[in-house]
Amino acid sequence: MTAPVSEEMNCQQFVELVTDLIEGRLVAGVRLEAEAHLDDCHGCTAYLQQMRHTIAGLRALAASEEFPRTRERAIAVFAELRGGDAAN
Amino acid sequence: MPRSQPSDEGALVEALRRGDEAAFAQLVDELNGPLTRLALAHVPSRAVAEDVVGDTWLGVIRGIDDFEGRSSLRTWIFQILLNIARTRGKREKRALPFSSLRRRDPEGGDEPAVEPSRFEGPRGEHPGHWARPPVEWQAPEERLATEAARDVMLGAIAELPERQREVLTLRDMLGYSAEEARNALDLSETNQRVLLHRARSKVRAALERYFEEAEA
Repeated sequence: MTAPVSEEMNCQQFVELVTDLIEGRLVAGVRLEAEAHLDDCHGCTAYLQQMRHTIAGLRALAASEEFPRTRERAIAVFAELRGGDAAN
Repeated sequence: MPRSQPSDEGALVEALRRGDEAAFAQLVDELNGPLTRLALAHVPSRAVAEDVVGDTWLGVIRGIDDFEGRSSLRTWIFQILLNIARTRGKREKRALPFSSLRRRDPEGGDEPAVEPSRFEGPRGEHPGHWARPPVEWQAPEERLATEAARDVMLGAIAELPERQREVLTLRDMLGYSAEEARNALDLSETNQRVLLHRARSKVRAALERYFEEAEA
């Protein structure tokens, strides 16, 4: 995905580089091309923002999930099989 | 996953071996959510994922005396979970019609990040440029936190090929680094990034449809 892009970068090429761009994995020349493309392209700017919102949305989703049932069960099993050092 | 210093880790392993319930509870608080989330990358329901996590903790409790420290404690725990979840996932798949419809290629092959029809074709005025460009999402933080948006994300995740779902879960949902994800899933760096790229692109596309429908 980091192969240099010939001539001017187009949008279809840009969207395939977005993860490498976010991850900081683009070689310098391609990164400059991608940044130059972004300066001129509203669509790709919106695309990059959508990608960042997607990542943030996934993170928030996972952070809000709770699984109390397994927590209590695991702690009970630990106490049963190995417990004894809880009081100190 | 290496979240703490090795010296803390040695002390933690010792505490677990001694039967220190507070130390174990703290470890459960840290890892239970991530483990369940990762189990859900393999099995179709929350109930089954919780079973997998329960079995994982049992494996940790039984196996801690034999833990040799060749990987970090957290990596070791994730590997126990992945082994159980993958086995269980295969069994569940045989029983479930929804996953028999799944894609044949577990890595998702060479799919474009965006439908080619969104771009101008080779004979357009600007080949490869947007024919139907994405637009900025309005109030994305609030909207992404709604039940409906969560369902869209979970639906898109459920549709992903398994390897993509694993990488997306560790990287974007649980916030692990590329290196941590590579180690836990035994992937090359490039492969990790390709899988992440495909997976994220599909979740974004699903969210874009959701935002467009909501605004239409």
